[in-house]
Amino acid sequence: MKKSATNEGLRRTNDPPFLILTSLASGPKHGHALAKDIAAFAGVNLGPGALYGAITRLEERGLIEPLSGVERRRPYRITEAGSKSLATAVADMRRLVDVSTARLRLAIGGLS
Amino acid sequence: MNRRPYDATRLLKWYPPAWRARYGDEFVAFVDDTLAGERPTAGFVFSIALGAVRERGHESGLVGTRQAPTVQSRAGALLVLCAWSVFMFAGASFSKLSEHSAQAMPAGSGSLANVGFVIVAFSGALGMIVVLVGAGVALPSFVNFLRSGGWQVARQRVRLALALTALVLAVIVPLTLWAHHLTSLQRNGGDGPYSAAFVAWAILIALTLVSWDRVIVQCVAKMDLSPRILRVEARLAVVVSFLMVAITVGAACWWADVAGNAPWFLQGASDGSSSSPFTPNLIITLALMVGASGAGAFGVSRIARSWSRA
Repeated sequence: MKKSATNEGLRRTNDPPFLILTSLASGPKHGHALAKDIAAFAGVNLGPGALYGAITRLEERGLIEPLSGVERRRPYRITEAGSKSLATAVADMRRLVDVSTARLRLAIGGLS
Repeated sequence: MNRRPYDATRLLKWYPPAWRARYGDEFVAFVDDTLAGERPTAGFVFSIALGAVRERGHESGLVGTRQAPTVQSRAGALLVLCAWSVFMFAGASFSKLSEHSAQAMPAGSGSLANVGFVIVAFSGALGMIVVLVGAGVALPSFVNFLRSGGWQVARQRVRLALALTALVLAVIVPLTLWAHHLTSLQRNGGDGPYSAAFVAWAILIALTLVSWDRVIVQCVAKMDLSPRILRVEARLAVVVSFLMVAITVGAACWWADVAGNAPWFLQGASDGSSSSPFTPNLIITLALMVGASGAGAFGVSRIARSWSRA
């Protein structure tokens, strides 16, 4: 799993299951389309092992489901349980972002 | 000149059969789409190799949290058993390396080395007994497995393991006869051809142990083991895992004492000469012990997880 952009060593969220659920929230996609979408919106290049490992686990947990494929390519869509799981993860992140933002304002205010 | 397109199905072979049956076609399509006719980078291949190892771990019950407790417990016990086979190899190596060490120690020293050696010997013997008890407990299930068609599943690997075992035994006689014509110094690295033959024999033993491990893993994974037997096997595996740690500590104590009081012994040099206590044989032996103890501890963690969920 490679990140195309760095931020002075600070890591952004690059958890493959989270990225896959986020990508599928905008509609069904097969493996290659998923990887391209994730690279575009998150700047994360998921390797084949990481991508399909995450797809396997997400399907096992019922968070995504396969649709009938076109030739060998099989698209996946997010399930209701997957949408709820993603919503919970996003809410957790939002709380964290809010705290970071508030403290950053304080820090910048203290410096000025 | 046109290059042949990269055959992605070769990479797929690393994954377990069940995973290949479910995801194989789309995975190859994904690889083909991503590579678009180019050769894969080392990182790309590494990602697939890592993914395959992870999937095999999930399938066996060694990785992940969603498998049934019985699957996790069985996988943990099997890992401890495989780690024990590494210890059999390392233990044999330690036994050879420590041969006659008591005579080499200066008067009034060597008590820690003695204690370490006793711990290794006692724990090794006890571990062997525990492993045999485990085999005895599983024997009725193994017989049932063979009666219900298990031999067809395992025979190829059993034949390979038997052939390697026969080869190991066949080499013992000429190697022993050869050793009788050599001095102690020649037997311990002083004679190039003998050392090369001995190393080749050691590698053959390691391959034999690995081939028997493969047989055991294949059979046990398919055997019908009752929850009671699994509980007994898991408890025995925990005992073996503790014994492996004890053996490692004992061997380290022996090494520390000999290194401090008679380092020349470790190099096979003459008494009193200045020698480094770091010999490749001993480092490899202790590294195997530490690695196998770590694997055993991981196996015990899987067993403990299965107990906490049961």
